[in-house]
Amino acid sequence: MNKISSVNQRLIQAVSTLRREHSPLPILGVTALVFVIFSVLAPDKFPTSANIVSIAFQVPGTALLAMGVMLSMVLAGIDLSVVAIADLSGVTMVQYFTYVGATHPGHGGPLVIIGGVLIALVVGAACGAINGLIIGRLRVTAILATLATMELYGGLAIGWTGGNTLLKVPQPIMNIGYETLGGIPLPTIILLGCALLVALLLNGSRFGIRAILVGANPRAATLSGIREPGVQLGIYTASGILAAVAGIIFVGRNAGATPNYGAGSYILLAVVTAVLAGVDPVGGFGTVVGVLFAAFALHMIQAGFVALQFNQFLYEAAQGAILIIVLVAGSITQGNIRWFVRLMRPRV
Amino acid sequence: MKAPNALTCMRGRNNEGIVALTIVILALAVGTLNPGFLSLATVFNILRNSYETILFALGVMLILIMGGIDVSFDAIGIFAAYSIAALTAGGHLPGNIWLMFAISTLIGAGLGAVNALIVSLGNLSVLIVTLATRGIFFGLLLTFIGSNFINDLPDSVQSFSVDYLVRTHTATGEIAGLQMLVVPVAIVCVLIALGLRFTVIGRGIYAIGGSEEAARRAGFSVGLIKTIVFSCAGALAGAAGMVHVGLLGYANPQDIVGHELIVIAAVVLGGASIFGGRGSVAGTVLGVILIELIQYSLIILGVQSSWDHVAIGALLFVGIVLQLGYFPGGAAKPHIKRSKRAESAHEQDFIG
Repeated sequence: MNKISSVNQRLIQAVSTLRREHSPLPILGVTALVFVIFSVLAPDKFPTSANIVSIAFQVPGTALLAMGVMLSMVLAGIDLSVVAIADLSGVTMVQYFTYVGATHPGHGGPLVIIGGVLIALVVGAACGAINGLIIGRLRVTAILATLATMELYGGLAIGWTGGNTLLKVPQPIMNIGYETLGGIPLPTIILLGCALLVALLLNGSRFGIRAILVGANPRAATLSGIREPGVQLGIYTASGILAAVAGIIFVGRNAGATPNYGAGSYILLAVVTAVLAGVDPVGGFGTVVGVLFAAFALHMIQAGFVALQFNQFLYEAAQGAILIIVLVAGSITQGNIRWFVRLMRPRV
Repeated sequence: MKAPNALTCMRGRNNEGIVALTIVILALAVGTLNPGFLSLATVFNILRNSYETILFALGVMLILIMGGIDVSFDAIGIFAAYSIAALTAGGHLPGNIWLMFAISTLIGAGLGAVNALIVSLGNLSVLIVTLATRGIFFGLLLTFIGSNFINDLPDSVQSFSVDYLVRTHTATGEIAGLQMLVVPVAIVCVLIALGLRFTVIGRGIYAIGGSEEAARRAGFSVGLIKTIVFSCAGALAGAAGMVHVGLLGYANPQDIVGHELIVIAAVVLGGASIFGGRGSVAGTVLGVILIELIQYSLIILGVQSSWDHVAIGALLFVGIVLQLGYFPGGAAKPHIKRSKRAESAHEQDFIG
């Protein structure tokens, strides 16, 4: 008994130091800095309300994907299948609308829309749960498991549609792409709602504390009675649901379900966003606010590149460069780097 | 340790036996459905499709044995090959295919060294660093070198794709030949296999994959070995990109990127372990051939190519599960080292 409680105390200590170590303040600074830089470089194109609103329409999809990746990184894993889950959910939803439209013409009521959205969310949850079971029960590493399921889910979407974009999207879903509510774009409201739920899950629930403990030190967590497979299942299911929400937003914005939308480029963006948010890939820490600001900062950079008329491909290189700079800087501040410590040591 | 019985011996150290058996069974099955399948022409065609993937896969395997997943190889391959193609088409380089191979390999090695530098800069995760450099290499290629299709390569390069050592005909009468690349690719395979087995660096790669700290304390110069391995993997990727361009006779910058999973699936199927320390050239080559065989069979059997991804994903999953140790002679290492911090935190918990 005594041993267990001392393990628990150490765990709580470890978590509190981890929290202090990774405050989301730096990313707030980065976001403000990015805004100022582009406002100075392109004063007539960048800081306009039209531009900000357009950014606010783009952020939610990738921010939701990044939030899923963030959740998996809390457990020291990584979910590479989020983009594929988003595409498969979107495709399933539109297939359902197409089916209803063909068999019951004239039925486009709110029940059908809600049914389609629920189907997308269930598909996302199921895909995520499969990931969680493979990782938690079969004990396959997250990278490999999600690499395989990424190909599987994405492949199902492509095989099912024959690689074509499905266009039978009902109006209420398309509205997500351009409607605003009180001046705030609809996708942004969805994003903020999801962010609130994830923040409550991660920081305000028993499950969240368990997840952080498992991520910080899996063996100590198991010894103190936390069932790791259950935590893995929950986290990856949540990640799948977030991806499905992103998938619905993509369908609304593109007015169609593309089976391989964002395949390749969005997963890099999602990982960059999560790492830029200050989430450590070795586990034990997650931040929802950080992800929101990181996603906003990255989309501002993209919009800034457009305003400055840079080549569109340069943005992909910039993402990579930002990721490396943040990682190396993080490593330096944690004193992990021998050459830097040696450099900074006063000469005798 | 279990005593080695006949079953484990046939299975091979890294599942090579299972992969070889699967290849034979699959070939016979497709052959029964389509009698024209079992021919020399099929062998030549599958080999031809395999050269590029084998070279990529060997590079991925080297880094995987060392304990990391490289996802930048496709960007390195197309960066090197497309740059060379652009220079050659512009008349800045003589149209000699072997010179192109040499320079492409060098460019690849350079980009691999960049990976090594960044990884060692902060002891960072190979997957995340190579995900970043993949974006950087690809973005720089499309921004500064070019994003257009190049199809005005000199005739000496165009004719390379039909440089056959042996010719034969398929059942439908098309010419199929043993492309001459089989010789250099085979030499590379043998050199890497020998290097892994008989050189200090080769043993060091396995040692680092087993435990980096243990390898360091045993006297391996870990930094040097990592640099060499990343450069070799980059060089292989550069050569593979050139194989792609050389066999097609044109260069499309959007071609290779996005197909990296097939390569990783082949390596994992071939028995290389994601935890490092396991993997062999024979297994990797067999893994590649199995995947190319499946893709070729899907075409022969008339399955739509849009289902390719599902087949590859399912196959990758089978490969992973086979490694888990639930089967006779399996790796029996399902309990994973989570991460360095988790490990050291764990030690502190029990020591401190």
